[in-house]
Amino acid sequence: MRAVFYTGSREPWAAVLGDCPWALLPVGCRPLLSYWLELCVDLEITDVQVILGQDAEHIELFCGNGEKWGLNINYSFIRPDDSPLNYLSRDPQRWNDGLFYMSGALFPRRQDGFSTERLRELLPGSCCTKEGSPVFFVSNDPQKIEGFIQAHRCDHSSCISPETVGLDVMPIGDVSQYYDLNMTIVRSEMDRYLSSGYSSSDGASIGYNVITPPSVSFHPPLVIGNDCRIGAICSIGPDVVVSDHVLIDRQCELSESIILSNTYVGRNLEIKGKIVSGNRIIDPEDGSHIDIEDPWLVAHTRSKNYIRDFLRTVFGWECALLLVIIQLVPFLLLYSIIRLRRLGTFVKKPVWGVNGQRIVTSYFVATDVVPSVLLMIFYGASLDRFPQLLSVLFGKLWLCGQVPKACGSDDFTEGNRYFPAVFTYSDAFAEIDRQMDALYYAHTRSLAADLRILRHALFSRLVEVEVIAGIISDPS
Amino acid sequence: MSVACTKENGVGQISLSGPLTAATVEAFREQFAAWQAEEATVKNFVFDLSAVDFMDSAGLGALIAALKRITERGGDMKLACLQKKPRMVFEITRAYKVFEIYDTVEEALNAATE
Repeated sequence: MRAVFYTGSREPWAAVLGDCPWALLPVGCRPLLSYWLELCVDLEITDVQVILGQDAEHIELFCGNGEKWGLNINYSFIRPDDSPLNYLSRDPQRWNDGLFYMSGALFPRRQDGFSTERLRELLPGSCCTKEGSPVFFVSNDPQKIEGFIQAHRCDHSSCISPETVGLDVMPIGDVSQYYDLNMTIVRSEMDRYLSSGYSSSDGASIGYNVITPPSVSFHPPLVIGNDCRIGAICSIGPDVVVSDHVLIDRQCELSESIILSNTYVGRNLEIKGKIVSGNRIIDPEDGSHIDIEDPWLVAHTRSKNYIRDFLRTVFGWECALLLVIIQLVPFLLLYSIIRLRRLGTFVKKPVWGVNGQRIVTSYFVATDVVPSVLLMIFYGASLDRFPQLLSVLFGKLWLCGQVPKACGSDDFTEGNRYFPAVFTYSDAFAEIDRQMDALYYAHTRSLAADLRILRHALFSRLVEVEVIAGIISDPS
Repeated sequence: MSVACTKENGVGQISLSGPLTAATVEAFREQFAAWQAEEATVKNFVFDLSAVDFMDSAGLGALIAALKRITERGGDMKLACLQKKPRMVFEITRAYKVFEIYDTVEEALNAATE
């Protein structure tokens, strides 16, 4: 039996809670995804396939190869607009031994009277849907699995609801539900998720490496994650979830709140009925939030990966400058001739640039389908990218990264994993899927990956000039 | 940050507009101190914060400094129309325990003239 978990879906409510992908948001102090993996353990499933999307590297870093849970976890990507059910139908025989499928922000909530032994009663067939789409399915019956994969829907007549064995598969649809779920768990349901050997008799669960002076007063129920420091004369609880790597300065009072990972709470603050994520304070009632650029109040304890981006910026800018200097004279000469002979021209197109800025950049379009020697040289020397290299110098594009997305009438929705660039994997591998390429780049982004792209983009185009000449740049 | 100071029934009405942060707090201090020096007879003040969309600890510090100066002179200071985002800052810093906060400017003026 295999499990397939889809963590790549967009959950707009989770974006408010900061950079943490929704699958890793803490529920009771453990990431949501860990409950899914524990469900696999309870169902005696060892092979897990996690389908990744945005923030893939965080999820892969957390799960690893699954040995923490005794699982064998593998990863795959699908296009952002593709359905995970299509992924299942690519190789239906693979799931014949049994399939356990979960998709989207779901919390497998254990109801009163739940026991792991009863979970096996779901194996003949169980499913649930959210807004008509299946989000939870488990069965070891090949016919039901085939029906599920082919029809892309649950057959409720032949499947039982997970609630019959005390499992409430609960979708999380907004910040308010997320907050309420955490409060419910910390108040009354924490003991349903603790492994044997742990006790929560006093309603307080405190993780590893948590340092508290004797003057700190705890008022259970509360949950504190790992690697936390709490200052003197603090009062923590009741109904508090503190995630991992949190610093709480002295004389703070926390109650009915969730403090997400890597957060610093400043001295003498009172946090009540709020979610705090880094420097953001969120009101769980309506999801409204305030970003405080004031490290005396609340702040991130970990800087974002500024050094890596700084190195990439410096490297990209210097390379772009070098390329501009090298290309300037050939570009002016060749482009003048191309214009005179009406072989092609640059067209301006609005695209989303660095940090989601709306920019206009120029793309070369050949007028003749059959490329001339002049055009082949123009493409081969990457002179068609000259205007975009200038955009790199002005900080509007990266040198290497993803294909810039064309601006529509909508606002910027690409999130923080968007790196629009002059050269991309598609310059080196003409057959590549651009969306997959973008996901893969966001996942493997590094200086080495940039060098690889640049090497392929420049030298492969030069060597395989006759192939490259047939490709016309297009931002869409 | 713009600061508009007027006098209503002997009560100073200070209307602030824009973010009250470390970058703008000096302008607020200077303008308020200058007006206070001109209108030395005014003891009670109402701060209209309906157009203050953001505030940090420096902004809060400036309000507390204003409160201290006003109370030292035997006056009183009231806040009105606190918006959602600055209110979160007031909540977490417990500043709501220090200030008298009213929903409307009229309520605050009435309380100040009593």
